[in-house]
Amino acid sequence: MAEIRWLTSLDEGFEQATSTGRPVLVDFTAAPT
Amino acid sequence: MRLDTVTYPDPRVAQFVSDHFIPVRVNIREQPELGKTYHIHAAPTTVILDRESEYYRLSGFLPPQDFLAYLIIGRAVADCDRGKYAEAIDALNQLVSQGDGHPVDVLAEAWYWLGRARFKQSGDREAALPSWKVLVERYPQTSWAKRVAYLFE
Repeated sequence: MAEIRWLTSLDEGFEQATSTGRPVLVDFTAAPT
Repeated sequence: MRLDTVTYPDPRVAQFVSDHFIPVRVNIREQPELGKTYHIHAAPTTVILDRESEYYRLSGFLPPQDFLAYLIIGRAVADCDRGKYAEAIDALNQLVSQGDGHPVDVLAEAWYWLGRARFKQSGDREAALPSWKVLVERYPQTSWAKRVAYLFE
């Protein structure tokens, strides 16, 4: 079963987006961690 | 929080997110400056973007099937804005071909963007008209149809 592997760094997300050609999906949450 | 407990764990959503996006989770309580930068006024808010542009955003909770449909539209909008017209058209065609399995507002929006993608791909507004005609005829009460209805008056 697929499980989403969330990054926590937007900069890292942008870097991976550049290298993969995929856009970033950001879940802006206020849920307690 | 229902996005976290209900929607993102759904296998169809999780697979689509993993296959089509770089998923990043930002807690705006812990990183309020990012909330300000991206104009996040309520959580949850889901934004599709890259370093250059924001392409699409959703606010609040949606159940898995609806959320997935909007993610498909959002990815297609991003593809279209980045010149990947064929990919956008393929994805939107698949979505509208599923027909009644989706709510009216999803289908109307998908037909709208399908027309936009065909317009942008060809550079000719005529290419959008078949999609927008379907939109206006099937979903005339939606705001998406009203955006283009004047073309058929």
